[in-house]
Amino acid sequence: MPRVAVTGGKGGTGKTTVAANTAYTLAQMGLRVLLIDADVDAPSSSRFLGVSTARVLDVMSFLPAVDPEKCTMCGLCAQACRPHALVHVEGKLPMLFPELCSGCEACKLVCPSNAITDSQKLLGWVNKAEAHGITLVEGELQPTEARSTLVLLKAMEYARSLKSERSYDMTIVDTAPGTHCNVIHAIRGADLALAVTEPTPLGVHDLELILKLTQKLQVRTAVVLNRADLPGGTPEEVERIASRHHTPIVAEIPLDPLVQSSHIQGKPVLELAPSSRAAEAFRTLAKAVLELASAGAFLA
Amino acid sequence: MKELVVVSGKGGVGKTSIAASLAVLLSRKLKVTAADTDVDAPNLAIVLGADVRRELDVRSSEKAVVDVSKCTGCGKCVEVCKFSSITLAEGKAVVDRLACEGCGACSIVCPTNAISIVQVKTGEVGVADTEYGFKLVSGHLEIGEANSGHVVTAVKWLARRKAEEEGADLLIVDGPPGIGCPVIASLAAASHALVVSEPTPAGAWNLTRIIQVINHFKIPFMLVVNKWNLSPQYTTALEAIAKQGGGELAARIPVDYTIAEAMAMRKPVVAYKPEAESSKAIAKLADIILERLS
Ligand code: SF4
Ligand code: SF4
Ligand code: SF4
Ligand code: SF4
Repeated sequence: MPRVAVTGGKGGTGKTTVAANTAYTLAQMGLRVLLIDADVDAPSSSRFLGVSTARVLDVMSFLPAVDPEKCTMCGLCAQACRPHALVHVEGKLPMLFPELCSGCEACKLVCPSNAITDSQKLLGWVNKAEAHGITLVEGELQPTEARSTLVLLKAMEYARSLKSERSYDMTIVDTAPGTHCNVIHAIRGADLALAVTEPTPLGVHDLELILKLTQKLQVRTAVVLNRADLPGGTPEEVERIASRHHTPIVAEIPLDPLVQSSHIQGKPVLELAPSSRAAEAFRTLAKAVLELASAGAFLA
Repeated sequence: MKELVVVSGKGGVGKTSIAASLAVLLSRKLKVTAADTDVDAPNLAIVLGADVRRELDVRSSEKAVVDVSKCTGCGKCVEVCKFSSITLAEGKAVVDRLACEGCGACSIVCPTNAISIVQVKTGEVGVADTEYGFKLVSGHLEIGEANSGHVVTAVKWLARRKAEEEGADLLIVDGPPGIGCPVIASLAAASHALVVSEPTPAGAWNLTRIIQVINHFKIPFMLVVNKWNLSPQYTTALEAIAKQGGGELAARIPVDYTIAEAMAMRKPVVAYKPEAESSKAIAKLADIILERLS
């Protein structure tokens, strides 16, 4: 089953709009769609689709607890702890800064007196919803927690477990902004990446970064030009970068006030205004996605 | 010196345009230094039309490296890796460099000492002179790296040093989107936060989350609603959320495509067209900020 990652360099280029509306359009065409919101810092797909989710899974991570009876205060755990979550103070039990802990368990592995036992902290959770023929899975980071990667990986793992229960025709992943490791986890192994951008110098700059990244990951990529007719925009710059990276521009979403009001009302553009220019653009996009992700067979 | 960090729970709400305009306006009244800690997509230099010169590399990321001549393929490293970053292929351990957190657990258990942990380049930090008379410190993360928080901390370190050299009264920081590690690093030791939000359901939700983070660090904050007239109802809702979180309502900026035009010209909107509706709203915001800072 094909997996499509929707990405786009900086935030706010319209990734979530594209991911949610593409998922909705494909579902309308009769496909069973799994939509994963991998932007665990700010998961918003459910709000774009106007659905409420249920928390299905808590994401916990290992946190060391030092047994004062067994600890000899040798300090080896603090030496092994690279993020400095454990600090050794001469003649005292090691001090723990839970917010720095990555849950790697290196401290437990080195402790010569088995003084470190398992404790847990809540990093975030995974939400799920069924609506409009789409199964939505989103990872959500607990505010004030810094380490979002594990929440993302759990959300992806949970989504995979759903696939073994039921077959889907298409998975769409809405990635976090940027080109950091969370984005890589979401893009890696995808059959197609959609790079959403806008015709501004910032859009062009960030598109180039994303295209370099998808090239490195060897994922086939297509560009979606959002707000294509932005006044003062520079679509020819986007075209130049895209063609330099041999990447096609598969859809141009017009600057349509309906897209904005679809955000406000929490409804997909295709539900709110199926005959609008924006809706037409999303239909073109959905067809291109089907083709490029070599899912054409499902339509036959 | 005061330090104002501009954040938003989610990207794309106009944070960088507003931060750039504020830096230009406030630099007319105060000695200002600017910093961009959105190291994933450092765009402030682009909006200010400035070119960044590299000053230092950040080498804080660590990765496991396997000496294949010592590896016996016992698989102990694979068992302990919490991040699924090391696997066996053809009887030897292989590290997935993009996923490895460099925690060192594998090297602790390896019976033949085949694994060492090495430092790699995480990112770069540089400085630009802007045509508006203030300096900009900006950093970027190497593609595929994790530790963006470390690059953010390096940007802030260099920015504070430059600000001190310049005798600045104010450091304006354009922060990253989201609520995770780089945002937390950006907010560290800030004196004020400005939250930019948009009047949509997603905007309201992201505002709630970023306020939790800001309040955790006990930083006083102001709210600015961008494109407020898209939905006066949601604007009211955002303002209620901010008030409830102990924040102050600073300004409403209307929908104005002049901002996009200005960006295409690589200029902050207040420098491009001071008489534009958005410029006037940002000028009012700058006055309020000036009052709060003193
Ligand atoms: S689990 Fe890892 S990061 Fe956490 S305290 Fe132990 S060694 Fe440090
Ligand atoms: S390694 Fe074990 S014994 Fe040594 S200080 Fe840490 S917890 Fe205590
Ligand atoms: S250093 Fe840590 S994350 Fe990297 S391979 Fe070893 S155990 Fe895994
Ligand atoms: S633990 Fe050491 S020897 Fe064993 S597979 Fe890993 S690297 Fe090779």
